[in-house]
Amino acid sequence: MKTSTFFRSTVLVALAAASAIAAPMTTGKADLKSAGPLAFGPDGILFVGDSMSAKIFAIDTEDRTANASGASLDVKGIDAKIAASLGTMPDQISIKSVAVNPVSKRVYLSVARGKGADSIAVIVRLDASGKISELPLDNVKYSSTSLPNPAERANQRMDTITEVRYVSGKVLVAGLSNEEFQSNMRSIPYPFETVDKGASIEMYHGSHGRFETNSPVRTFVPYSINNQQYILAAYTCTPLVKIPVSELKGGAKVKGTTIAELGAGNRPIDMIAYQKGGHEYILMANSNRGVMKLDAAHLDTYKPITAPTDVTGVPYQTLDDWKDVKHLEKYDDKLALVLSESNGANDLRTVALP
Amino acid sequence: MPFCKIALAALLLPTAGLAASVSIQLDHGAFKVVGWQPTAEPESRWSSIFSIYAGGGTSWADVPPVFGSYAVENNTLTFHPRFALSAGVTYRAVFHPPGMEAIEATFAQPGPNVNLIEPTRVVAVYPSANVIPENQLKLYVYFSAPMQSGNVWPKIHLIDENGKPATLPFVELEQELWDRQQKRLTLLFDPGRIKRGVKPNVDMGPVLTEGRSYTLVIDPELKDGRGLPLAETFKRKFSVGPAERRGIDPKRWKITEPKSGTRDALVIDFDRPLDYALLQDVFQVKGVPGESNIGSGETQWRFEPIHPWKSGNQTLIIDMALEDLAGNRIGRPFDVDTIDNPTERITKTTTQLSFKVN
Repeated sequence: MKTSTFFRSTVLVALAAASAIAAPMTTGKADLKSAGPLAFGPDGILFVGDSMSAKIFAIDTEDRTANASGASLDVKGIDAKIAASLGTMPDQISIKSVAVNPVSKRVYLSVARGKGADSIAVIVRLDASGKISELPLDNVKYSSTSLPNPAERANQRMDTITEVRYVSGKVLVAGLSNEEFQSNMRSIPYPFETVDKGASIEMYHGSHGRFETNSPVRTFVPYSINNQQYILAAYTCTPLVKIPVSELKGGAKVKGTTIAELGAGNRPIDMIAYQKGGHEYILMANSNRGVMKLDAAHLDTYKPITAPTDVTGVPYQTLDDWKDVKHLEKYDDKLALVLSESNGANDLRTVALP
Repeated sequence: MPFCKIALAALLLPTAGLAASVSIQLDHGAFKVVGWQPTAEPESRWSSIFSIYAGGGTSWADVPPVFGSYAVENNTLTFHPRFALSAGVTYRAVFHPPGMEAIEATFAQPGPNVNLIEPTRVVAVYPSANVIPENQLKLYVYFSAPMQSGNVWPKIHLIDENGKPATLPFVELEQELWDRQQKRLTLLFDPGRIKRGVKPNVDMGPVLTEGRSYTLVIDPELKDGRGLPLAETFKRKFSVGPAERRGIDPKRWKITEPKSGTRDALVIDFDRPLDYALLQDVFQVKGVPGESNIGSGETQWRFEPIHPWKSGNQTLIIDMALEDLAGNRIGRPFDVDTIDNPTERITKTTTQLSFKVN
């Protein structure tokens, strides 16, 4: 009798301790109204940016089998294959984002079935042979957090989430409003707290001469310099900027340090950071310039660019044969994953990191 | 021995007439194999003997089957597609159990009847005035019905008075800036090309030049939510005036105060046009419900209360998100001059104006 009471109370104490730190996930239907930017957190948790409902979802994919490397993929016409699986034509779907689970190396894509305001949010994933299956969103373990949208002005105003990344226990969300000109970043602790207290962070890119600008962040990637966590962000008017993650606090006005000028007419889409042959590089995909490979060896030593100048800062080369890249993700230590568009079809393939 | 022969015959008899009476039917969005008695699900699953394919195009060979679930309902093998069938798409169903020839059926879903539908059109572009500043920040395009999103950029152009299209005038975000109903599209002029002293400005030059005129052209190939084109090409001409670089100053507004006991409009005339979308929601007369209207090329805001005005001091609350056409806000120009005017951090989200009702 005494023994069992002791055991029961010990178990209760242990349970209480465990629930205090456990992520508050529920099992049920993750009611995504749109599936936009994707990013993986730890342990197979997939973050999804849902602009329509102004929420970030964290979905447990239960995809935790570790693989050091991934199978090489070459899926031609992946848009046609996804459309067919979803029972419709390729011009009736949009592939929104691509993510690779760093644990298993499985590829996930967020897709809109339909292109109207009533389009259906779908997440699909590939197996090693490139076969497509749906990630079920009902009866799944998930949690979500709402992004503030000024309630008084919720009529037609919407924040479009443009990128989501997980770094150091925080989900970073870049967004752009369709009304007031505001490019904002939110830093949301994960596991999500019940009340999102984070104010938005105003992103200014480094001043050129005298003037600062609140400019849309097009893409960003977490990066570590001398064991300090940064993000590297690329803007619509081309500079590449580094920002310490420690500065990304709610309510802050953050001005990154410009470390590279990449030329006019550049529209950055995606960036990845990788190592090859003991050197560090950044690969940046642009809408009309192909892919640029930047030497990231000494990002801490490049002087910030503050004057209009032709000097580019970080040295880079353009890879002419990487064409029409729409999405670029890191796949494993040797390969990148590229979604490209040519002749109206989307192809998904793994490519050796250059 | 004779027992075996009877058993064999018993097996053969049902299949002999079977192929002739088996068909695939589409019933309320579900595909059914009619005339075939389902046995236990094969080890290779129902999908190995009954699959549906969408589209097809020129070749069905490389098309994976439609996602869905199988059930035996009323002794009939039924496939429920994961998503509702799409209009205008042809579906091909194939039933091929072992020991039987394959049966196929195609089902063409009807598309929208173009003749019965009112085509969608652009109903308005804001700003409504014909002259915009050289540093105009955005345009709002309003459509008469919800639109499809995706791939809009090849169908939207800005053409100068010589017929030359501007190169990349707008920020071509893949996600696009629609409202939730996809009836309004926000076009953002590339801020890098507007800003002074920013490299793309130096290299490519500003999009708009004072003294010149430009036409916004929207091709009819831009599809509405039903997949149909717009009624016609939309064109809207703008002339370009000088840049607006001052912060908004509410002290420069002219307020026409209403009389007490009336429901006369409170009228505010601005010193310059302001952003049409933001004008819808940034003003609030504290404690007074009513209806507002925007007029005179977005240079005027009128407010009529539901109940007659009470005399005394009234407060107009203004959301600091308010912008003019160039993105300047209250007390804060869009271009923050870090040398002449070190940036003062504005933390408040609203400001107020008092007016008196006599």
